[in-house]
Amino acid sequence: MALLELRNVYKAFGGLQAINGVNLKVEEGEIVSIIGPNGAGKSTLFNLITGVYRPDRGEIYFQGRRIDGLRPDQVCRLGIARTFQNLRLFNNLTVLENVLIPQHHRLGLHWIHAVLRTPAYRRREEEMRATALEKLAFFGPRLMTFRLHQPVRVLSYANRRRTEMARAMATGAKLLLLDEPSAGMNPRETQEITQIIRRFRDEGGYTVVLVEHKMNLVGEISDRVVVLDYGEKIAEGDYREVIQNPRVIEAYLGRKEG
Amino acid sequence: MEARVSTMRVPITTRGTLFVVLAVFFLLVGWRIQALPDYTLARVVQDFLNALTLGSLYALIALGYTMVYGIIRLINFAHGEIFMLGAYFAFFAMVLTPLPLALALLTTLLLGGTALLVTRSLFNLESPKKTAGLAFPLLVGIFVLLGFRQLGWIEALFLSMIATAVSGVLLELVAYRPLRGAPRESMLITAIAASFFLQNMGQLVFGPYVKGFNPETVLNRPLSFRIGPEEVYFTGVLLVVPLITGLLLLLLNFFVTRTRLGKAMRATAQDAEVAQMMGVNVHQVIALTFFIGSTLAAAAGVMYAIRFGQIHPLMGLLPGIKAFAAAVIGGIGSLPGAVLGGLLLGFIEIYVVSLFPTLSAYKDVFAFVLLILILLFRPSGLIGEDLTEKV
Amino acid sequence: MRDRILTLATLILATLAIYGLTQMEGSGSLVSALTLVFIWSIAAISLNLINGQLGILSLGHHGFMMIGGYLTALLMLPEKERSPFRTRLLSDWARENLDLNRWLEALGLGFLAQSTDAKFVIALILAGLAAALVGLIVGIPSLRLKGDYLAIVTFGFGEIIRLLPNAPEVARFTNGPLGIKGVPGDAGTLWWTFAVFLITLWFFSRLKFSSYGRAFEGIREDEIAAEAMGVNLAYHKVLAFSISAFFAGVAGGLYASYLQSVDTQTFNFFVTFFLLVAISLGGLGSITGAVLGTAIVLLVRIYGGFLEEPRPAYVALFAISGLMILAFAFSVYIRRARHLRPVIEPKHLIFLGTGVGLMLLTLAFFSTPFVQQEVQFFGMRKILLAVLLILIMIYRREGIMGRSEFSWKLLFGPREDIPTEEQRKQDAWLTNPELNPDAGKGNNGAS
Repeated sequence: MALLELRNVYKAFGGLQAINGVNLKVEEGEIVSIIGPNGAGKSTLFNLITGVYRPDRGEIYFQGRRIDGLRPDQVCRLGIARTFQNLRLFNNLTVLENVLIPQHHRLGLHWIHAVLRTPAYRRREEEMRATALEKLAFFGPRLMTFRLHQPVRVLSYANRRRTEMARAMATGAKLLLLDEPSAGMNPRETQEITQIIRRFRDEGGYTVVLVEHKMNLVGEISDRVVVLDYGEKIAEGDYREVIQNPRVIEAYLGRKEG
Repeated sequence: MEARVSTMRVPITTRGTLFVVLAVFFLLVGWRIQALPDYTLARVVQDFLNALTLGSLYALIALGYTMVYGIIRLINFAHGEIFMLGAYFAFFAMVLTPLPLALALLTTLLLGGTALLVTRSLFNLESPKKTAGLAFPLLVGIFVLLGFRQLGWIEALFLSMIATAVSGVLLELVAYRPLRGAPRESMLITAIAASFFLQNMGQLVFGPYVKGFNPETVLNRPLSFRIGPEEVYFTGVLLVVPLITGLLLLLLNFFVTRTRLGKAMRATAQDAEVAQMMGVNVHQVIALTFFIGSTLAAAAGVMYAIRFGQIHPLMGLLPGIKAFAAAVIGGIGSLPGAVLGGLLLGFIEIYVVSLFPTLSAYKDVFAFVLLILILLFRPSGLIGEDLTEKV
Repeated sequence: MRDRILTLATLILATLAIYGLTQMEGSGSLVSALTLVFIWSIAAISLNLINGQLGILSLGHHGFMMIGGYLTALLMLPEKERSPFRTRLLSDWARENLDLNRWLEALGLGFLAQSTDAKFVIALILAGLAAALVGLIVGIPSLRLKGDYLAIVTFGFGEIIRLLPNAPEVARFTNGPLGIKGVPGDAGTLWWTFAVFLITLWFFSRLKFSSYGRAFEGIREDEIAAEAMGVNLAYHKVLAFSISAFFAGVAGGLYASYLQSVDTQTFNFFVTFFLLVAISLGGLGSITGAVLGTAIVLLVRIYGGFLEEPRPAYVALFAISGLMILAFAFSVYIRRARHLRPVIEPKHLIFLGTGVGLMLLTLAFFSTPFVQQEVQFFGMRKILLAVLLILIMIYRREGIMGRSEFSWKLLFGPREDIPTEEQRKQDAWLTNPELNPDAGKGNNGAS
């Protein structure tokens, strides 16, 4: 059974058909990249999966369970986490707080416990802190010492991206949806991200779906590539095959005249 | 467009809502009328006139709210106080004139001076000659009026509209312009503070008591006409208010649809950034919006004062909030919506009290309840556009 | 550990100080001022949960306080105050049954009825719960609406709650415009309010620095991201409203006891405005700020009375023009100091000109009756508060404390967010490819 499955999903906004009958399967442990020209519907796909939008038609299944129509926090609780194309961190909160909040839904205790600081609560706090540091450790010690207590808005851009990824991991998800994880990064940082995504899968056991524009990253890391254009899947498969697919080339570069 | 509402799930159409609301209203009214034996045609007409007047006043105030909101997405809590200022300016204009000449000169200069400074942003006054050409006769006229005449209500209305408009633009300059670009909640808080400031300044300067406002004008002479066996009693005000309101609305409509500045206003309301890129002076447009809104509020204030015979510094509170509710009910950001909402609220207020006298204690609560209901179920109002958020 | 000792020491000192205060001669006004500070701090802290931490502008707080105030008053009203004349608008049912003594008897807890303090504890809790229930209802629109629309809805609710007690049907439970007089004042004393204040502080700081507090702030920072990270927005928003309303109700009950009466004018929109100024001044989102802001604003309110005494008009005119000239000077100073160019803009000159002109005019017309007349500066304190709020919004929106809280670490302790020498060296080593041959590979890469 595929970890994530989209069956015949349609989504329109007013007159614009953003997603036009997309079928997609993602197996556990895969790294799948979704590429396509701008406006092809890639972020909309993420929004549909995570519950921000509801498909007009079609179903979305996660671990065999139907999830279309659920609220984003419900989807998260089932095990899907995402990052955002334009970074949506809790800007005035510290790195630590940013990585603790996604664990809140797994707290399992009523707020009275929090106020009274019961032993059960204190234990959970310890555990959550440990988890937070564990996720941040993916990126080395850089976010774990003094930066831990700095508000994320003072961090460098790359550090903020890293924090967002750590945050997504901290939700306890099995499936990570990364929306342009290397946007705005220079080649060296992009290399690093590539390694890290691979480590997500290898060490962390996550399944990763990413939307990306940088083909070197896509090529190096993907098990499978899916190409979207105008809301439709126009190609799927191994990276080398896909980029030679004439339809894909046409989508990116336009049709040759004559 | 900024986010105010999360994705609406209930499909409520404009025409449908309007139809339902009006149908319910008429049904209620009709049912109740036939249930009350002494509710004669005369009473219906009487109430109608009252409702039309009240509704017109609400509509005028609501327009100010809706225009400002449409342009800068600010709920100008202090608009009710502008309304109050309008009434007071007219009061002083009628009671204190003719002024001793020195004072008249001073006031004219003050008014002219402030107006000039404030409206520098209003009218692109690059050529001083043009300014002088326009302003001078106006100022002379004002001086003459102030110094040599006991002002009648129309002149007082006119002067008050000018003075209040200047005050409105001054308010924007001092309190709201520094906060352009700030989060909306901050602007709302500032508006609330401005409202409190003006209320209490009013109490300080004008005195915290009610002043009678009963000018011997044609408006206050009691009139009546017969319908069947009954007499319908009213004063001239009830006829004049809807007339003046109608006139102002026509002027406003003409301005907004047919003039260049009006077009600039509509463009800015849609998208201020793009309007700027198209060469619209957004500062000017915003100042102009406050100018016009305050003018209308002043007119409403004067007519309200004449209608109810008194003024006091807190008179703007309740009508202000109700007019705001009316603007939201009609569809905030929409000019016809404001008028519709104002009239609707006026009619509901008068007829409910008349038909269900036991509910008269809840008169003020109605506006709030309606406001909350509309915001919950149809935030775009009866004829507004739909508002959703994009992720 | 050190922090705990410091906090405990402060607590003991404060308690001693309060005890000393109650023993002092002629401290009556100071005592009541402090009592009011405690009461209104509770209300401010509760409002701060929603406006500051959750980031939702709520304008209906006076409604919650009113519910708490009325319920407390009704429940605690002693027998002799319940005469049909005094409470003539109340229905007989309400007069007899809305009585805590009755309830206690019925539950077999009659012995508790002996102690006013015990009864107050119960009454306040009930008042808080009632307010919390309404808070729940008011919180529901927050699930659909945002920003200023939501603020208006909360305002509407607050006003509806304020207007209802006057209506004839509701007056059967509230005694309408007559209000309820003769409420016992035991809970309005310094010790009582101090105790409840401490409990409030404890509760809200525990909440703020817990996972739930973080969840609230996450919602404030970015609601969509919070939802994507698993935070159930509906639950948390409604929870915050309910908790906030509970404490507002308690504060209302305390105030009713302090005043020993409550009526339809006690909790009007000015109350919410007052609290808004307090928490904006202190810092939205900071509990310490809420207390600080409340104290300052109350200071103005209580001791500013002298501003409103009758004085000749020229005093005001000189004061205003003098302030304008001073403001101009201050602006020039600040702009010089911050190297802002140009230092003086036309609008500043206009401002100066108006000030100077006003002063000159006043001098010129000094002997005229207009300038000499005695003016009562009615509402001067409210004007001051309004001006203060506007200035805060324009010049320092984050208030005094911003979002941070007082902590011993601020004064003495180690700063965890500033790198030590050791940490900086390590950090540099990590990120500098010249020092670290592994930099640029894997997770030791730059920045």
